Amino acid sequence: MSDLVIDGVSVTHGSTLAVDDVSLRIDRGDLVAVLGPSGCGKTTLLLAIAGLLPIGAGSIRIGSRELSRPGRTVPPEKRGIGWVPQEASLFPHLTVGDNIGFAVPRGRGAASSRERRIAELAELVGLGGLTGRAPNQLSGGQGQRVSLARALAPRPELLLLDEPFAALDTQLRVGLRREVAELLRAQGTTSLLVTHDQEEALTLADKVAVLREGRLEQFGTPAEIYQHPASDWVASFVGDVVELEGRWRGGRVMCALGAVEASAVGFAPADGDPVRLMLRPEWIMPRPELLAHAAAGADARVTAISYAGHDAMVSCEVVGGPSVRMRMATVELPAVGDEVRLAVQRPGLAFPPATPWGDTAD
Amino acid sequence: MIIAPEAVEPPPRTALATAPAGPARPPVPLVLAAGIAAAAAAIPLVYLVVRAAGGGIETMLDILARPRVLEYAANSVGLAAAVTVTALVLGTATAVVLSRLRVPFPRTWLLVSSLPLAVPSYLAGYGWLVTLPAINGFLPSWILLTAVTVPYVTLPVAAALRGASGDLEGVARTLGRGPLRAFFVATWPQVRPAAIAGSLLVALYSLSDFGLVAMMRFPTLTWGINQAYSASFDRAQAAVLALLLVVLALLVVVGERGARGQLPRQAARAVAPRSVRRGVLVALLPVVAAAPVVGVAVPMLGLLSRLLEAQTLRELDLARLLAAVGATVGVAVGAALLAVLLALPVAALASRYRGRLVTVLESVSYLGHALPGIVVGLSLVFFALAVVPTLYQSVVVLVFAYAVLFAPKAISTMRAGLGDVPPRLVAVARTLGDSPIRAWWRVTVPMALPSVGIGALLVAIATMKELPATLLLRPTGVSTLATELWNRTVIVEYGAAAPYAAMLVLLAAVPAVVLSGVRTVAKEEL
Repeated sequence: MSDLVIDGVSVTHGSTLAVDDVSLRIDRGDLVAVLGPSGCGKTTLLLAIAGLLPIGAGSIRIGSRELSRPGRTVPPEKRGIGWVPQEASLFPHLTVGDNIGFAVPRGRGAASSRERRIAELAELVGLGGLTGRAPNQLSGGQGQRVSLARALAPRPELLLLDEPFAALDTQLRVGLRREVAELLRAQGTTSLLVTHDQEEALTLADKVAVLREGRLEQFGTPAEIYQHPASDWVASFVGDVVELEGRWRGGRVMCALGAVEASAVGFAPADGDPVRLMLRPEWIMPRPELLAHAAAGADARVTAISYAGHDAMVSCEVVGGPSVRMRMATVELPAVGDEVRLAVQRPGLAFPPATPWGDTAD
Repeated sequence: MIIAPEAVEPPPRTALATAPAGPARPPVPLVLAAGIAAAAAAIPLVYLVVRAAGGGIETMLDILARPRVLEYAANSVGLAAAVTVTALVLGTATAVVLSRLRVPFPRTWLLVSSLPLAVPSYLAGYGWLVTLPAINGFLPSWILLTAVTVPYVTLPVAAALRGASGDLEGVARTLGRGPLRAFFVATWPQVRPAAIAGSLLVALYSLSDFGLVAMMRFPTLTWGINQAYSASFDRAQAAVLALLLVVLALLVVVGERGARGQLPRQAARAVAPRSVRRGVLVALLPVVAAAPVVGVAVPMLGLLSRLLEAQTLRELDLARLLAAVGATVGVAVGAALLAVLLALPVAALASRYRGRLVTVLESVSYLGHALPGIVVGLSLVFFALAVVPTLYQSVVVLVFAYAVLFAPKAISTMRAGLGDVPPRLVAVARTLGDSPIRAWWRVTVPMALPSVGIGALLVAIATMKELPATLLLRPTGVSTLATELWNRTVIVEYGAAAPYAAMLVLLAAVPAVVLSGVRTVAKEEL
């Protein structure tokens, strides 16, 4: 296929503007996650791409083929776009095999090519022997696999996945989504995955589009989104943050952790201006030997440890200052009450200070 | 009896719920088909108005002022009011006992308390007359009508109690209310719309009933209509009485739809049934058992004892019985087919589209729900004589009357079935390459098919039990089980009536009970 181009698309839903002037370009073969809190318009965007909702402004194209513009929507059956909705949505009156083969034409005479395709897809999603079953005899994970196979059957140019793992329990979810991502990559299928789970988006996707209240906040690789968020909202939405008040001085922020190297996001502070420093908890380490070449550091005392197995969140009170949290592997954990020397091991992000009302400036 | 359509719900809010619903404007052929169905449903009422007003306002007022007419009206209203209040109290009490106390075999008791719905009122009347031939007048009419209509209150109130949030009642208790006051403060408001809607169905049933009040010789409007038409051939009076009855029935239906519109629809944690001492349960047994005993057990025993008498079996005219069975099943199948045919476009329209036109077409198609059988019968007699005289006293008009009366049952069942097909599944089919019509054929139709079958069955059952319209419209020489039972009962040949009553129970009441076990069937439909 060619690239999917979403150009200045707005979708009005009832009286609310659910998707507001969103532009995205999705390269062939990529898996792109659309990430946002519930109600941000991500599902509406997906339905518009599928042709299930008309758009109010802009255009949706695949290569040179225009699919949607205001007043003209190519119907879903003529788009060649697959859709895996939430909660599997299998046809309850058809068997698993007939669900998978829904879009595979029944050939005259020899039904064998259809049967072969169904068997092949069932095998692909790991449900080889189950094509004769009724949908209500499947578990949640199996239902999602059938839904995926059904959408892949007509070899769509683009596959839309709408929170397909949301209803599954944690262990199943983690396993299945990794498997699905590998499968999609192996098939070379261009896919758009809607999710509200930042971990899912960051681990699976080649690129992540962060949506908030219908507007595109940022579009980039997972590392860009996490390390270089375009706004303080994106920063705190995609991961934990440690916030410190400080003053700007020549590319550094003077704060309780010393002079921390930082880049200003979205504004240009002058020396002496108050700024808000944002760090990721894992950027802070209790490593005195690092202090020599680390950006900054301070003495602190451990006040609490929140243990999560593979890692732990350690809360520390900086001497004479605020408390900060750091994330560290649970191999050499300090104990509560220990004195530690904290080092900041990568440059932080500087944002404008919070307004007196506590709102961040959008 | 049927439920009115649910008040039009506000459109769902989420994108997923509305998005794949398709175009907002219904297709023209569908609207045309629904328009034909609505027009058919409107014929009896429109023609009744034409006929009643034909004599001029003065004649109408003159008839209305007759002392007999006033007596009929007062009897109808008084009986309906008495039955409604009694059914409301008894039904609510039964529902509370069955859903709030830990009774043995709760599901069986709920089924038992719904049984009276399967028994047509005149069959209950016959079953009592067999044993006590002297009963007549207001009192037995009141008691028997109450017994057969109580489930209209019991079932929706029990359902509302199961759905009512128990947390509120718990909160009221922690704030110092006693159990009874907590129930009335916290739970009754959640149950009240269901109780009122159910009671108004009882009122409609009581106003429309002909068979029982006629057997008990209690002169209400329905009895008066039949009397004026059949006995004194005063067609002007019959028409005016029918119009008066329709006005009363429509008032009740409007109230019922209003109450139903307030039904809360939220999932909530229900109150777990409480254990009480065995003595308390025994003391409450009469409350729960009253309606099934009076409305089902005693009549069935009376019927059975008369059926098994040697004389009854000796005088059994098998050929005649089989002819009646054949006629009954024949008209029932015809009515079911025609009703489904009329109902399908209306249900398809109402399940997917909204707007004033859709609401009007659907409401008009539901007219049969409000019209008493005797009114439809009378109006179609007039209509056939005046407009299509060749069809007068033909099976065509009879089947048409059944279809108008009972199409609402098929509409509400099929509307629910079509509406239950998730729009998302249709949308999935669209993304897999199906055009709208192909998606409808491959997804919507197969999923909704059971509801069509159930709708047809409900119409067939109701048709077999129908009495007053059948009496007025049946072609000479054609007798159904209901009319055979009726004709023998009015001449006090209870033994000769027994085989017909028994066949009616087998053909109509038993399938109704079986059908009530099907989860998707609203019990009030039977």
